[in-house]
Amino acid sequence: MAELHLEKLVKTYRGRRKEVQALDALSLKIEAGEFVAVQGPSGCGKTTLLLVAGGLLRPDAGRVTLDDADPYALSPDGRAAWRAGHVGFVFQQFHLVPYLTVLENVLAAAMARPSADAEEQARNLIARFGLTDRVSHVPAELSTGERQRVALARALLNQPDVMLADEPTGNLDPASGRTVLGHLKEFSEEGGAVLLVTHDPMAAEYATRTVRMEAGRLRDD
Amino acid sequence: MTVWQLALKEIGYRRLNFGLAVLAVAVAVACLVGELTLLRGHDVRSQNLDAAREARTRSMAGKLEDDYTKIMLGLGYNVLVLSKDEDLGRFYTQGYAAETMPEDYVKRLSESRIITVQHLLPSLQEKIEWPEKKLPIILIGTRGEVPFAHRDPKKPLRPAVSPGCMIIGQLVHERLSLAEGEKATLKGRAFTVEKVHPLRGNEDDITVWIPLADAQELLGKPGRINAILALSCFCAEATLDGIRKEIGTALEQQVQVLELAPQAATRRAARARAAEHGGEAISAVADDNDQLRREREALAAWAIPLVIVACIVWVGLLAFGNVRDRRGEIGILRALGVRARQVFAVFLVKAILVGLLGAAAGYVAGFGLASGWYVYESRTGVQGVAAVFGPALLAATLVVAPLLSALAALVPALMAAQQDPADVLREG
Repeated sequence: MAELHLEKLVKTYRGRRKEVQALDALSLKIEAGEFVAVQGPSGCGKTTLLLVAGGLLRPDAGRVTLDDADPYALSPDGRAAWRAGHVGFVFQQFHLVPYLTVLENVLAAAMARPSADAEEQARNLIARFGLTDRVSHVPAELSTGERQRVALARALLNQPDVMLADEPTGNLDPASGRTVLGHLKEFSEEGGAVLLVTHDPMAAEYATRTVRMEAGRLRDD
Repeated sequence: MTVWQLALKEIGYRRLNFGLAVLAVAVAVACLVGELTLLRGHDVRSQNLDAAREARTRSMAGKLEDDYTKIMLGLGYNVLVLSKDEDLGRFYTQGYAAETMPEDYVKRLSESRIITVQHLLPSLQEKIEWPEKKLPIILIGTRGEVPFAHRDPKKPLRPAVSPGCMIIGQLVHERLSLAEGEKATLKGRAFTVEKVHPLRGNEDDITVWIPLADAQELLGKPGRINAILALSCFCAEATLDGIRKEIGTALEQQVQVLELAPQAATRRAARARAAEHGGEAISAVADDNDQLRREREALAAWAIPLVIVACIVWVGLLAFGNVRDRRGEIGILRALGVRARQVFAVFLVKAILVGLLGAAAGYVAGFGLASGWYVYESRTGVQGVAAVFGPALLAATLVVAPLLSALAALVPALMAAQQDPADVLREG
């Protein structure tokens, strides 16, 4: 398993009237098997941290490495392949494709990284998350908790090294939230690195480390 | 999950968007195919009608020529064959030929394959005084028309004089008080008046026609004739030069050929007018058809591009709307590692399917309506449909429509592929 290293990340959003410093020389190292929860107020840069860490948003300065590999040194296609092979994403809004069934949504991750046993793995993940009887349902027919579990299964299909989760429990009831956090915990216990940004105080119970973020900086690391 | 599967699933989910795009392409293709099929039908129909009209016009022109021919026959013979030794000055002065030629000439002419003349009438003519009556007359011996050996027999312009009979002109009849059925003696030979011609106002009025053999005997010129009258044919080759050449060749240049000018000129003018009338009628029909086709082409020249451009714009706008609706989906797919070109392909596949289905539906509709109209207009059956069906148009439609549809969706597809997933995911 791999180690995610964020070094002195700087990211500034430049609007017409003002600039917003989302990341201000932020550094963070997450080792394999570690579950790091980042908490902080809205607008402190948590989502930006996640997008930069996931190779989706190039930082103005600083460096992201996963086992010494810098995704921003790659071409756009290379970075996409890097994401497909190493990073799993879970979002508050689930971002499921509305016209695909549970199985197809999970298999959507295989578009980026096709494999012969993708469907078998997808079915295993669906079974693991207790969704076997929902395999042919579309997102609109699922509860919010089920949707988030589908999103988790999709994120895990390509067996990533790092799981990046943005408020995954934000739209869930406490029971569903615990289920999701439990699965993230499982992932870290199996050797994966988890970076969770959240307001949810319950997350601290599952994280191996909790850090606080304010104005683009970490306070309690 | 493949690009194709994703595209097909999305089509099933957003059926209205897909249906509207297919409809736009179908309408454009239907207009194009319909118009081109109508033009093709117009061409086929014009060709058929042209052929029928031309045949009809030619038939009418032929009938007109026949009518002219019949009318012209009334003018009588217009070609005169004389011995090559005939002094034309003397001929014009005395009104008949002094030199004779063998009667066999007319037989040779009738057995030759000349085409420029018809109705051969040999005669032996001389001005004499009817000794028994002391009356100057023109005596003409004639055996009637000699039929051509290689042609169907025609009704003679002048009937033969029956054996032992004579036909007399009106003045002869009046001066001698000779009536039809009465007997008369000419140079000691008895004849019965077979017929009296009504007043003609020319030398015929003082003419007496008797059988050629009698005339040859009475005039002491057995086996001789001094003129062969003929009628030029109603054909283009019947110029004086043409007639002279043919007859001269047939009779080894032993004769000279004269044209009886007024009759010949009238006949030529009539023939020319008949041919001209037929040509004008055919040309007018062709001009009308050309004009109609030009008008249809002019309409198609601006209407078809307009419809195609409108279709491209419409498909493009629908594709833009589709990209906007799928921002979240594109964002998460890109976050999962799906490449930009795969996203681009998803939109392009959809556009190609829009083009293919639209082309097929539009072709069926456009061709169905246009061929149905053609069949109705031309009163043809299934053959009419086959006549306007063009495999090239079908093939071109199935190739070009998807290409144009893909072209219309190109910019939206590129925008989708270039969409920054971070923007979408940050928006939540």
